Amino acid sequence: MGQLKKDFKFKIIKNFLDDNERRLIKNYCTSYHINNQNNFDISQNNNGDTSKYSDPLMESLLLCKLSKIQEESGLKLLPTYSFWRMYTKFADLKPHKDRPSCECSVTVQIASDGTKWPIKIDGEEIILEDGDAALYWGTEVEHSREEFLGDYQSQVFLHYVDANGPFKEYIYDKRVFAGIDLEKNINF
Amino acid sequence: MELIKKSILVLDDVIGVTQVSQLLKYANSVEFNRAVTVGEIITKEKNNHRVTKNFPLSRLSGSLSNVHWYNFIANKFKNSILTFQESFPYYHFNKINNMEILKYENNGYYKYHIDEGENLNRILSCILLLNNDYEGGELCFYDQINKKEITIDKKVGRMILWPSNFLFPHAVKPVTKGTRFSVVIWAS
Repeated sequence: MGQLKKDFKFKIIKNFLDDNERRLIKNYCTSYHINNQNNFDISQNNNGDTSKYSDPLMESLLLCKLSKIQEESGLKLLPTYSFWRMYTKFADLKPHKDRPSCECSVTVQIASDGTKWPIKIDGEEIILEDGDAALYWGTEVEHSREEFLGDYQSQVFLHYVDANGPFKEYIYDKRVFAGIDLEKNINF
Repeated sequence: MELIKKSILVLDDVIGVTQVSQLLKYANSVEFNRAVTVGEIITKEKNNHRVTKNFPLSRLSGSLSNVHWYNFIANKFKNSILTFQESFPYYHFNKINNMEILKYENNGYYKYHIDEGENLNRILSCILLLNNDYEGGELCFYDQINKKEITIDKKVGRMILWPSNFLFPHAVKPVTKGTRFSVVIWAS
């Protein structure tokens, strides 16, 4: 693992999404959510909220933001996968650490109804604004959120691994490349 | 002659325990309106046929939490229709007309009625039971052929589907203790 990685456990990246990116992704997520009657996350989310692994737009964001995250982390990184979710009222995020593909994780607040919803990383509460992101070491640092009391908050997780670290074989989350579903990996 | 009984489909554990609990929490957080009957709408006069409160769920709602629960339940409902069609393949699903959360407080009830009516294009009716910590409030059907009442036992996460037509008059018996929450769906 790189030396700089030890310098911090997490960091906030203000305005990680610029206004155009934020508006585009916000509208996309809202439209997706309204039309979604198939993709519900009942294994990791108490509400079974709308969610999508390897959404084409989010996978594009994962790739586009690689250089930015390398700059912020001080590491040469490899992209693994993206996952987004539309959190709704009374959703929470139980304390957990992530799997190897999430060694370097970025949680991005896309849009919300304005309700503050702190994320607790390594015991410290962080409040993000729409467009902000928090970078943290997902496999090492415990993170969680208490119950959400607002109406909605859309969030995308972008995951990377250290190109010189122990999890480098998790590039593209062991898929052939980014942007495809795991179950369709060998059937295209 | 068991046609009536066999035409009422009862499916258990349609929604996971966690999501039912979250939906119930959501139901407890929203503001309900006094539910009216079609007769009241036509005559513009109150009657005592129904003492219930309702809260509409819609994918056109301005609340994305409301949209979530509409879509989540619609997904479960559509899966249940597939089971219904195994017995009744001549039923062709067109669309969900309406979906509401219903709240029967102490002394709440709905006398015998059918869901189909003039200007009401309802072909299939559905109730999802969200709780069972109340007394009374049983969903009953009246079998007009055998002159007997069919009572559906209360069970959390139980979904009941039946044809909306005149062969299936049904009622919710008065709640004598506690509050009964359910979701009702009408489809064509």
